[in-house]
Amino acid sequence: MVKKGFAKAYIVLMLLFMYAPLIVLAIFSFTNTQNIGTWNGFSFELYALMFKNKDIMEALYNTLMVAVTSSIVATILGTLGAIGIFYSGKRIKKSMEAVSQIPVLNAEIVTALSLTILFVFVGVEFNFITLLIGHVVLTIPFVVLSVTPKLKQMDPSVYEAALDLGATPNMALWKVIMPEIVPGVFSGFILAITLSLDDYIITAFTRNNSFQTLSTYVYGATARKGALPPALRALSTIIFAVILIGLIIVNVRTKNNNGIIKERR
Amino acid sequence: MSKIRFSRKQLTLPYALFLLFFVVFPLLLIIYYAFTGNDGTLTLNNFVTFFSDNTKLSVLLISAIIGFGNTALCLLLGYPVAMILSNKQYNNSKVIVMLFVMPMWINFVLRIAATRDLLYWIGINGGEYPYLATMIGMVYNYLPFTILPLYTTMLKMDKSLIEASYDLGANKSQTFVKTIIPMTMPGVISAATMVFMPTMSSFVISDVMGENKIQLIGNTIQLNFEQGQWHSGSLIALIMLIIIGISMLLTKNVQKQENVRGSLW
Amino acid sequence: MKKTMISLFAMVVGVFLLTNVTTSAAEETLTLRVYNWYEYIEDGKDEDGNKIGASVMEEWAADYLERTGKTVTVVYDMFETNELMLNTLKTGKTTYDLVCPSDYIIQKMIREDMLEKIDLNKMPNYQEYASPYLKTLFTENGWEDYAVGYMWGTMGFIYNPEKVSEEDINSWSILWNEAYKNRATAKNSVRDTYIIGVFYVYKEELDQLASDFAEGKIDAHTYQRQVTTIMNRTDAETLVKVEEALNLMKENIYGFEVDSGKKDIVTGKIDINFAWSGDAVYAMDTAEEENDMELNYIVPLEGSNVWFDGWVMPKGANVELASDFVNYLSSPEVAVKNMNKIGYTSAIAGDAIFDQIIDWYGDEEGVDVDLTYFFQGTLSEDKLTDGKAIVKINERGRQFDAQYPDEEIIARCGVMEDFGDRNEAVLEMWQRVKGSVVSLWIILGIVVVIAGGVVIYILSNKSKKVRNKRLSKRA
Repeated sequence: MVKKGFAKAYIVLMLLFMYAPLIVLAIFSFTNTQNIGTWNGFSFELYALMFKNKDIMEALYNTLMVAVTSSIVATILGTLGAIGIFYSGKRIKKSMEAVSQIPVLNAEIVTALSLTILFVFVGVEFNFITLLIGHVVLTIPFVVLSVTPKLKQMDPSVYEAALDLGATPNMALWKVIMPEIVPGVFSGFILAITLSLDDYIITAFTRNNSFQTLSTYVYGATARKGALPPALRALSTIIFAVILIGLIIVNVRTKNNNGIIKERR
Repeated sequence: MSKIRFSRKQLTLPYALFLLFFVVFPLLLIIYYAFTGNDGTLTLNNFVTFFSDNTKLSVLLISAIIGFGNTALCLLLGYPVAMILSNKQYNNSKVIVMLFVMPMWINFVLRIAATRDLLYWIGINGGEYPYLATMIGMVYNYLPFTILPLYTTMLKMDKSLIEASYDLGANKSQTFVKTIIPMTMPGVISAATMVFMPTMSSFVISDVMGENKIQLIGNTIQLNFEQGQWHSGSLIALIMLIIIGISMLLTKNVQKQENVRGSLW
Repeated sequence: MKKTMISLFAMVVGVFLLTNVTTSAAEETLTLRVYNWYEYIEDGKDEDGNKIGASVMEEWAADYLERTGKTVTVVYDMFETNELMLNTLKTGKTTYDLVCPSDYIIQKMIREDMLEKIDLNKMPNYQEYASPYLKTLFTENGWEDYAVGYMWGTMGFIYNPEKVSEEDINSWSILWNEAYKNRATAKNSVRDTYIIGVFYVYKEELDQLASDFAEGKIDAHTYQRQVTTIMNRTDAETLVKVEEALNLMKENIYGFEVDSGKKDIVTGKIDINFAWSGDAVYAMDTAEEENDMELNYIVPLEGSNVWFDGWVMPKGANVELASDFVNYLSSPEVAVKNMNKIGYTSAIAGDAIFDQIIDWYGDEEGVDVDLTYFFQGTLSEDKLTDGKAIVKINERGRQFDAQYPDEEIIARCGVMEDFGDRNEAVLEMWQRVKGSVVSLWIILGIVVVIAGGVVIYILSNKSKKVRNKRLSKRA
């Protein structure tokens, strides 16, 4: 039992370490003070300031937009690609898989720079499209990585069976293969969104100067002010809370699902 | 229903084109720039400058050391966490696992800025201890990335092997070293890969936490591009690519190795 | 079902793309694209970015509408360093009509033929009200055809007089002074911090010049030219000495900052900050307001840099529109607004500015300071005393000196030039300073060890593979 105690204590310690900055930020988001460490009385002023700040709101909106759009594109392109690779010959399979891995393994700054060089070489002005392409490059390998295992797990004969039963290749594709891999597609999509929301380097290099996302805004504000601007404490607390709630909801739902499955048995 | 007959293999086409334009071609451009001089002629000058000059090699070395250090620390701290979490005796719910992974979903620039402010408050500031602050920042950022793959691998561990080891007379530490650790190797390698390269190439963390005092490879590449020295910048990027390529080859060997061993037993 | 899902996806994607791509499409209205430094204009926002009033851009747009009946939109982007700005322009990442670079970058841009020529007839306000001192400097340095002055100032130290002695701070060498270890910051910009290194290395020569000037052996103009020559040295010998000096300095200072220094000194994070005069004014004002703390500004005795930021029009700019905007900015009233907001000193002179200075700093009991060099020819008769522009000032060494250095201070300030083809060499040197240099032998040694480890690893794997094959064959 001592072991269990140690184990639990260690976990708690690690959790504290990981959440310390966020918790401190959350605490100090409820007081209007310039520095962390001085308490100026409880207030929601920072939250009000945050919502009124057009730049922050615009950055937030931009971030979400880029994330959703690029994830949609990446998911569609990646899923189709994964299916195609799965049914291709060995040589194509190997080479495509290798190339797919490049953005994953590559240092993000090299990917970002290579894209910058590309766009300058072609001579386009940087705009939303260039940023979009940057994010898709970043996330598409992960979509492929999520879909491929599901393809491998699929029973290969199902497709043949569908064809035998009179389905056209199209029908077989959409009605038989797709449902099997949907979990993979979905998790690929979520992964893409997560990566895109978080990204700084590729965004900084491929965006148009007027376009701020959360990452570039925070980096700029922090670098220029020397400390995290007070309004951003409110922002981080809200993000923290939203994700926490999302987590709880997902957990409750899976518990319910498990319960239902157990009942059916 | 559409009458277009297309083979599943053709689905790869859009994806393949995308990869070609936005992954392969830009990399080729980088290689081109690495081997050209300012006047556009092919030259090995950049190579020579890189290797004959202490600075860049030192930066590479320091980046590698910090990379190793960070990977080691993350593994050291994260391995027990993963073990405890995957052991049903100690932990039954997925919530705690999610809690460890959750910070990944909060914007990383925000988290780093928060960490810097927190450290400043307790006295560890980037001015006096840039390396310490940077290491803490790195570990803080990359810890979830190590816990997740370790945890996944440990879940799949065949517990009967551990029992067998005890049955055959091995004590706790022998079992640990000779059975458990080798079984978790794929997870360790996967975690190390996900941490080492990004650490070496990051520049945001070292800039923010180290008050711009620390120069890593990522900083150097960025500095060169910023100052218009695209050729030397591309060369350093190329060197990074080669390093990544080498480590990819090495880890592929290990992964194959592990498969063989696993199936033998 | 899946088909509808996918077509839905496609529609959503389409909508997203359209709404964003079309924002960059040209509409009937005129657009002026401006690229300026952060926090360098009255933008109608407060500290944290919340809107509290009208910005100069909005006021100009309203004024333009009144005069011409045409609507104009201003796209206002901001940059942090000259180099980033140059990079953006060179790579064509984004195009602009009006950019505000610093002196040495203007030089570079002119040399590389990146700019449209300026027609001063389109900017009557500038012609009438710009300070003759600045106009002369622009002509001397060959910028008059391409650039128009916006803000100017000096470089020096903001410091906390309670923690730092005035004698120590009157020299750049304070950054090497161990008594102030970890209490100072320098700029994370090679162009600016390089100068500090040069001033430190050639301290003796500069001190000599200073005393020559004080004794009247050389005149102000010569003094300034000499300082300019010294501070722009980039020969190999200088580079070596500067590198040595900067390496020592790096250990002694708290860190390199880009923009946070003026705030850090107010919060007390540091006591000494290498800063531009405008940031000094900001810091001094903020320190007074928020912390009831008095900070001072000083331009060290060895000499410093007098810098200018000016408006230029990149090739392909909408010259008409850009000129109109600059003309608007060059009226003394608007210049006062900007100065008030950002704390820097405008290149514009004239009555409104003169009155504002008296309003801010004038003190009946004060000492006479002669600002004729700056205001000559732009003031109305009744402002002059004996034909000179005199203000009475009480507090020296503070905001006033930061904004309007007297002739003595100006004399020891040189002009920064572009590194030219020494750029690569200086950059290499800077990278060495910023990184830590490990001896080549150690590097070789470690490489050998790692290579050895890898080889051993591969060999041992091979032997294991062979063993396993043998084992499986037996089984």
